[in-house]
Amino acid sequence: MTTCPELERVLYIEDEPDIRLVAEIALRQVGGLNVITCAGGEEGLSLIHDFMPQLIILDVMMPGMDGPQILCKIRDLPEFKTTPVVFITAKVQADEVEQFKRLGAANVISKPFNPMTLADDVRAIWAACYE
Amino acid sequence: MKGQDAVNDLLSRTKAIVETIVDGVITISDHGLIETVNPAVEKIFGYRLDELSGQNVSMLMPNPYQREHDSYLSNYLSTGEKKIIGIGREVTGRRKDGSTFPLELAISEMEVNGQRMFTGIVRDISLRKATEEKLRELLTRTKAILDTIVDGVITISDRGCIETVNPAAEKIFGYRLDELSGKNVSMLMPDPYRHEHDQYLKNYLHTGEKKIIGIGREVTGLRKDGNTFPLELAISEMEVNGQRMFTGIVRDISERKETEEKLREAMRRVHEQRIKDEFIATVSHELRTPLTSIKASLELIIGKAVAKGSDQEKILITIAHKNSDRLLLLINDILDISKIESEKMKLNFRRVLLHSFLETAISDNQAYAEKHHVKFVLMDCPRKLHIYVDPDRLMQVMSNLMSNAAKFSHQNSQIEIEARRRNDGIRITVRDYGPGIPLDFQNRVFEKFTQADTSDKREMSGTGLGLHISKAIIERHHGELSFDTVVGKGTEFHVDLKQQLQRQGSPQ
Repeated sequence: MTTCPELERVLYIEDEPDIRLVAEIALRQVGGLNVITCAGGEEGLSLIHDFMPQLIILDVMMPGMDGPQILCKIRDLPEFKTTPVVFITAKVQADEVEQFKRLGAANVISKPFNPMTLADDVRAIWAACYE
Repeated sequence: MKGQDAVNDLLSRTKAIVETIVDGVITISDHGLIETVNPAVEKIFGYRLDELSGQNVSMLMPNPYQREHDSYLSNYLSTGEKKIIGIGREVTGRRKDGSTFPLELAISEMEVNGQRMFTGIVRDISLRKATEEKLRELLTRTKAILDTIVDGVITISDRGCIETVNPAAEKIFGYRLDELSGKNVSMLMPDPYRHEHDQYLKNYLHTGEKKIIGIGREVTGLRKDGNTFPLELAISEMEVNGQRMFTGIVRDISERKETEEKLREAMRRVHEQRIKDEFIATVSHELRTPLTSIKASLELIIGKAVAKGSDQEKILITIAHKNSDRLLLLINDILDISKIESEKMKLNFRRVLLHSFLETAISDNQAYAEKHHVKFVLMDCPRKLHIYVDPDRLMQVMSNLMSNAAKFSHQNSQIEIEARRRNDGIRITVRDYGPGIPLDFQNRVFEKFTQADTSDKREMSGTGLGLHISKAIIERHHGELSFDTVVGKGTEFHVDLKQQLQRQGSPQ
């Protein structure tokens, strides 16, 4: 058992600007996390080394690179081989959760999410990775 | 002298003919003794001339003909009754080596120097007989094939008249042979093909332009009973005794067409279903995405994460939030319905301890109890019984039944949850002491988009799909969802699960 470090830096990639905004409020203002949101995989990958997120949240269905594709790119980077990645999706079904986990996701959050508990939910996933 | 020359000439000519023809020529006396034979006779019977001369001709016949011959000859001489003479017939010959063979025999009578004599001309017909036999066998075989194949075979003349029809063709078209023989083949075709056929045949004979011959195609046939059917037709042309004829091979393909049609229909349905599934999945995603922003925004306001507003603003925000919740429930239920209807609902069966499952159901649905000021109570339940179910889906059913019970209960009443063994299975019951289900609504309880009117109107948040979905989920478990209700007293909903009992390993 490893001691669980404090979760501070979260990167959230989401193509919907409205959802980006509410998620930012939920994670930053409600949850007190240092969060950067961006609209797509390329933007996210371009700033990942400067920001060094401890956890990454990916929307699943996006134009261009989708969540699973971005996950593959992230895993290609030596510094992010084991960084917890959480999928967030509006198309969630019991069997899909298992499928996303097999792809290497730490867990799945379904939309609509509860903004008042989103940061806590993310922290719980983070803690579970260190159990 | 000149006359003698002429006679000599004739004699030598006759001799040359007799010695070279392939037929055997034998002359016998009226006692049946051989006088002369030509070389062909030697060859046919295998005897040398000197072995035959002066012998009774019956030596060239097998028994019983050998014995009969003498009496036959004397009978003829005394009565004049002919059996072969001047007629010719097929008889059996016997060679020197004892073998017998069919021969054609013609006998003529003559008088030489006042002496009655007979000339027999014999031809070995074994080869012809063998050929005939082979031909007959071939014919029998061909006929057997024609009689037994499932394809209809019809031959017609170059004028379109039916000449032969095999049994399969009779069966296919429903006519007997005698009803078809000599008729125009166009009687087996419906209009307009019937009228075109004669013209078509004439045209072909004239121009050689083929439309079906040697190609084969699908056409329409007409049965005796007037029904038409699809048939596959192949036509070949032949010449019989210098006469041009056509053979048509017809196969009734109604069944095959039907199967093809069914297959096409099934594939079309699969395709439509896939489009529908994709559409519903997309719609569900597209609806949830804006709803995520709406709900989250409202929740952030209600959760006081953002600036505070007036009381009235708060009420309106609450209404908006409550209805966005309701919209989400509706989207989820519609997605479930579409899964049920396309038979795409996957169940993940697991072994679950029933007692703790029901305890979880009560704690998970506590919010409903609080909202409606009622109390969920776990009554009887076997402590160590396991059930084999999809716990997520069964929990969905429990939530539906418990929220319905809470919604329709009087304040401060209790809602009882219990499980009992029943017959081969287990029955889970959710019991409320509410107003009961009105009689006129009872038969529509499980229909889609149905909701009984709640008298106090304090709650209208259901989707009207819950019980329909619950029933389908229980049926997918091979179980049954039913209810007992007494107006004014209350309602019990029963989940009956069969053969899903599993005992825990023996307790210490």
